[in-house]
Amino acid sequence: MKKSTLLSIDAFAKTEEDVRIRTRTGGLITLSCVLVTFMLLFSEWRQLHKVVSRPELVVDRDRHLKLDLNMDVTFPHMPCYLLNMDILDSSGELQLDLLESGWSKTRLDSSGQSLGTENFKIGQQDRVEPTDENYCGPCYGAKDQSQNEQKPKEEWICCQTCEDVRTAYMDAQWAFFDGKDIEQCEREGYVEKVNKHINEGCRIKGKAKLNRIEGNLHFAPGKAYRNAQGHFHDISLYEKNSNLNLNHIVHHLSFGQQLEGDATESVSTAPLDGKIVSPDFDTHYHQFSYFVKIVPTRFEYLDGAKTETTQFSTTYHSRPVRGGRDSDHPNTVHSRKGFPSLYVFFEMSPLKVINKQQHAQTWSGFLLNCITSIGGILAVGTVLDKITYKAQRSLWGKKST
Amino acid sequence: MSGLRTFDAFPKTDAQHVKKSSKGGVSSILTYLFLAFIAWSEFGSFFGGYVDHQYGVSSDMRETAQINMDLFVHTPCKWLSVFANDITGDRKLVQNELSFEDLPFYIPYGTNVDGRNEIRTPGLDEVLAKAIPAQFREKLDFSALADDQEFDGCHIFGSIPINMVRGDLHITVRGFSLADFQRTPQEAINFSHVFNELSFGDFYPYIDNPLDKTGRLTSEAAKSYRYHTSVVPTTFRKLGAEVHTFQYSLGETESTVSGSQFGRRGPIPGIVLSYNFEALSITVSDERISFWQFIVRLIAILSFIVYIVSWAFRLTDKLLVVVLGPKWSLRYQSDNRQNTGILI
Repeated sequence: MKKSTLLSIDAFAKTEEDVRIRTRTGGLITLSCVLVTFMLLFSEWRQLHKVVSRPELVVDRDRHLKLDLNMDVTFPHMPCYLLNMDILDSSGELQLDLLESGWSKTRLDSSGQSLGTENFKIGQQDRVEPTDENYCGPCYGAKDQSQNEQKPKEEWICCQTCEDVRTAYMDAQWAFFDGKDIEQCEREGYVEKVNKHINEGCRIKGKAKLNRIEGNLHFAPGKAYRNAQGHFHDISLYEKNSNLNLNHIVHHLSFGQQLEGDATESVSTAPLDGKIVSPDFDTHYHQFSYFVKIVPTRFEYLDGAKTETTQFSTTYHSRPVRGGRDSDHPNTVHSRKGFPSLYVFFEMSPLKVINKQQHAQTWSGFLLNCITSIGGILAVGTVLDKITYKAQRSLWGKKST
Repeated sequence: MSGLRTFDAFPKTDAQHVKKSSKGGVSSILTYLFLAFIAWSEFGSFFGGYVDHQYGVSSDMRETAQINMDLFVHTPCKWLSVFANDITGDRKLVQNELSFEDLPFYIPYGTNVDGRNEIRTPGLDEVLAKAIPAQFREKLDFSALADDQEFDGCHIFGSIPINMVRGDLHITVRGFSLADFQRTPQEAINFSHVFNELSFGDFYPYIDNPLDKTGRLTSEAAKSYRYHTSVVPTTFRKLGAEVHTFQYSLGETESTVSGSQFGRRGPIPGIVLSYNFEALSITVSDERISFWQFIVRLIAILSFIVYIVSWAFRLTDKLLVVVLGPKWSLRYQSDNRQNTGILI
């Protein structure tokens, strides 16, 4: 291609240096433009490195996954030995075998100070066997022992420990109270222990794995039993001590893996944390309920790591178990059912939220914005320079610039 | 200070070295008009903003909400029983919260009878324009205006507090609810009805809801209507204004309670509103880019247009000169002065 042809299509025509006029004002405007351009480019650079989380809604297709439960709750007016926790789901199964690790029970004094921690597995108790091999403990009528004499020794029906008597009472649906006058309990120091610790509080902390179906977990006083009418607890000892109640502090409650750092911002993975329930009226015969709707959530980080967790929304409700009209809302009639307890009813959402971490801007977007910023500033600079140049010329003549 | 001149990146050319033409002037005016139009539309889109839909899981502790209802039922008020119950085990005696007015049953003009309302989602501006809070009026006694008309209907209206959990609101006849010893005569039972209003949360009567202005007619006494609603907390935001309300999706079923079942255990005639509050909430907000971003963007667009136009002008000029000759040049035209200089 000839040089003259190239020259003829040059769209960036230059002006000869001899006829170009440079001014001090033009220099100032140029420096200002450079400064502003750098500021804009810096803000674009920050925008490029800013990480945002963009939510996406999908149908939850995960199967055979368990739901992690993380819990840390304090009951200031409920001793540890009396407190029981059950996890039931809509299949009617009692979830006892799903505990991933031991739960710790921390005894608390009346001021909330720790008196020691013990680990326990839900459904497990320490057995204290009698030393005498020939001993066959009485069941106090809770089990039929009248045929023992006619049977070989290994088939005898015996209640060897306080726990055996307690279980027999449960099976017979009798009230056990504090084990007073039951020789096994007296021997094991159960009665003394019960009365000694009756005014303590308890902090329960631990993890469990749940089925991903509708269900509930609840804390209630006394041992659990089931009959045709449903699921109950032996609250005989609880009823005897009117200072006991299920007022509570939720230090932590979440379902799924716990998140680290900034990921928890603006998401409700643990909205109940710090919730204190301590009404200024007698709650001895009160049931506290949280109705939790769990939304599976996945966090996808920039480094490719993924965290499967959940968010949940909660509705709080409390009612006297003896039912009757609500004192604050006379048009509300509470049902007469249940037992003093803290219930967390949970149900799963079919939708899943995927929070993807990504840069607020792509590289191509960054480059385009940089060019836009530079072009815009140059355009403004050109206009400003023309205006000031013409103004100066008309005001002060040619030589003043 | 004179050293500043060396930094001048915008060198000027003296007027004597610049050629101007009338055609260039015309194209400049057209360019300025086009720039003004672009600037105006950009300002319009900036101030108009864009509607952003976000969804999330509410971290607020929820306890109660309210149902706002206004309906006509083709059964005299004295036979009607209204109550709500939910999964907490609570029973709400909403009969005491609502107003009941006897009136001749009629279908207001514009009611969609035995059909469904057109499916449409109100826009952000529409909701904010209609979000005028109100309260239901006091109960009135129309018996003085009876004029031999039969008061065979009942106007039920008011706001009912409910727990924010799954539950049912029952409108049935006496004799079917607990501890109710009065028995409704079968000839008095007719559950033809018209919903003038059914909404959740704060009462905004002008916002349209799926059940508003819909009705169902029947001649059978033993008819049961069930409306299933899934309620979604929704927040509308624009320019500092914020409206918290609830939208709901609707499903409905109707059945005839057979004679053998009538009055026994099992389905009972009436209108049942089942409600369930969803975990996900929606935030509809009016968003806009920052003012400085907008200014930079606007200037960039305008300067780009100027640059493109000047380039197009040069290119057109070049083409005209090449194809039609120099006299067609847009830029370098003679100014028709007589060249009668002293040296000619």
